[in-house]
Amino acid sequence: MKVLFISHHNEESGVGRAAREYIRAMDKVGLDVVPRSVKLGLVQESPEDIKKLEEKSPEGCTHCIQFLLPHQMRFSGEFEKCVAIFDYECDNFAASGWPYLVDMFSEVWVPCQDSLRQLSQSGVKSDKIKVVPHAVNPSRFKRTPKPIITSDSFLFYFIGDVNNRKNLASVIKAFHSEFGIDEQVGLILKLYKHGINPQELQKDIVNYINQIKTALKLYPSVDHYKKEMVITDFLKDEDILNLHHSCHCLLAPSHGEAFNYVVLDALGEGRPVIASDVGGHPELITSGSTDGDNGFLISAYTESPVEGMLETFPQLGTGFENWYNLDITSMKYAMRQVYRYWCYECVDAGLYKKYSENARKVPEKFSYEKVGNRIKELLCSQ
Amino acid sequence: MLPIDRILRQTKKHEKYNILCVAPTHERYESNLCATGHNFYCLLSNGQGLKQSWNTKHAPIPSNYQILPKVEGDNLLNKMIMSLPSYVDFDFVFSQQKFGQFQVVQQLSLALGLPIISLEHTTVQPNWSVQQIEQFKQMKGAANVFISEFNRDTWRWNGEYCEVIRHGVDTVLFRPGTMVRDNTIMVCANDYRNRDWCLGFGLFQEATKDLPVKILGDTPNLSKAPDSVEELIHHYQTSSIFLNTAPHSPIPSVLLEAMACGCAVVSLNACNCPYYITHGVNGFLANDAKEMRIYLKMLLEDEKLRHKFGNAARKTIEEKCDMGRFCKEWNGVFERVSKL
Repeated sequence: MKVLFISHHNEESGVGRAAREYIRAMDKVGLDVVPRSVKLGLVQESPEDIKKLEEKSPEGCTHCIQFLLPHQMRFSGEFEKCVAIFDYECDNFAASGWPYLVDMFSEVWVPCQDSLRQLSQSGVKSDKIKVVPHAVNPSRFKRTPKPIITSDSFLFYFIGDVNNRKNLASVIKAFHSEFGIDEQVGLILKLYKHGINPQELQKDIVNYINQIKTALKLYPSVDHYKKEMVITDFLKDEDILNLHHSCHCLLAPSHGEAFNYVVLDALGEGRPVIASDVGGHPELITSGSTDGDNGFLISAYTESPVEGMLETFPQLGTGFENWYNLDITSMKYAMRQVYRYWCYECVDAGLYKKYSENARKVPEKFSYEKVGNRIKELLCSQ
Repeated sequence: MLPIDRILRQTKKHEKYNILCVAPTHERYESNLCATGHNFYCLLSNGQGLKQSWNTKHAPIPSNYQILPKVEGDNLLNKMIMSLPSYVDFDFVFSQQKFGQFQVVQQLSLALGLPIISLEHTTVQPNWSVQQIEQFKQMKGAANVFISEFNRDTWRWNGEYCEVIRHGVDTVLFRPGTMVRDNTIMVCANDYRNRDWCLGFGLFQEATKDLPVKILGDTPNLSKAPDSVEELIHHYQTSSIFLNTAPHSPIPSVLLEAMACGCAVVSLNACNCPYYITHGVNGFLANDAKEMRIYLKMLLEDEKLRHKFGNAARKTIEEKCDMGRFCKEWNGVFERVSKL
């Protein structure tokens, strides 16, 4: 079997990372994988290990996997199996016309159960949809971390792209309405937005946050609120991991997610996560169990039409799709709980430590071997 | 055509590549390229600096060279892309000139996700600065081919994916004839007067004053081009001496064709000519008009020497301009780039 894997693996994005990790997972389990890149937006050079695989000729490939935007895919009956991988964050994409493109393929792989439901709702035949989670190398978390922030406070943090879907507003509202200015807590925001320089983004974000603070009316002026630390500069991958390590609890209240590597990295660094119960989050975060909890899943059952996603393709992120709104009250409760566990470590039977230990075990479930073997199993099946 | 189409095409072994060009350039060179057997598609347009038609006087259009309908007006790039046949999956875009063609080819490459093969026939112009040459070097493709070491070196090109592919000459088509040769000096150049700086019209006038000459090529008030390749070959076959006066042409193909047809040659000792002409063995190399005149008169007066040089010249072309070698080298380039 020789597998042609066509993806946007040169992208500096979550999708690019997911593609690179799939390639490594397949290579790890001995699949003869030939990667080929279709360039999209912000492009980086392939890492050395993938460059080596790219030197192989695609001649004679028996199977084809395409992890691309559907309008860039092309089904080909020349292969024994021609598979599409598709990540999406809202409840359906029927209005985009993409389901028909994706439905042509022998199989469609999605990263989580929620995505399986989304694709079915969009009109893709359910029997051809298979779940193949994203992969990660667990040894990436086995290193000597270097804190990049030193603080005596308990640090909540948020890492993400600045767009409506990530729901940064809920983070600001929950943090300031739950915690008083004298409490030993802080909020770190690591943010980025394609096409905007860090200084400009910093200004825009501070203005945005001040608008929320003004609207909350908790204090006479915005200057009375606790100040967040806003990081908009580019951070290398290792520094992002060090940022996870420097903080205490990740907040991920997105309206929708496909998988979410930021959550996986936080867990790998032993950081509990408070996240909306959407997308891949339920498969990463254990909440409400007897002993295995590593965070809190906040219910997000209320749907509303997608809005404000102006940077995407015109036919995507429209009001014809729905996303999920998490219950901020429950989020605040969860934040308070995690903070308590940390503050009263000995009283609460070391719960923060337990959450942290449980979190560290998560990456093993998505190791190159596990995901690679899942891919192998699907490629070999009829 | 999507970028993925090219990737999917690479999974199968193809005997023929589909190559997109943006204008006819050197018709006889392109005819030789067509001998590789691949499919060439030529976009015609009224783009600046782009030749707008194939000149059938220089060569007939090969059967595997398809000229696409001409596009004109604004939004030329979009119109070019829309005019491409949807049933063809292209493998490369091909530039034959860094000025005029490369810029268009680069845009097509970006739009279609195809690698560029860049071929350069010329040397740098004498008045260009080192900085300018360095800037022009940024016009590079996945493969960068030069027709000689000489013109590669003038472009100061020592980068990766740079190769020299010497001319091929169809020695079945260009061969000595059976007719008696006129004891005359043949030259062949288009726009000879206006392009004196690179073709040496002044040298020609000085060297051939009062000598019997036959001038061919489209030059206003001087000469006309032959109506066909066959007519051109007839002139080679019926001329005893061929003169090349070009100081800035890496290797004029008319010189090689004349040698293939058994002409005794006198050439300016410039560019890559010494690779093909060994002075006194298969021709004469002259450093100026005065020397040229001496050698021309020598040949005009010595039939035996003309025959000796003519036969040796023919042999040189058979050895150094073999079409099999030419096609093999180009196929090597196509195959390497197809895997990128």
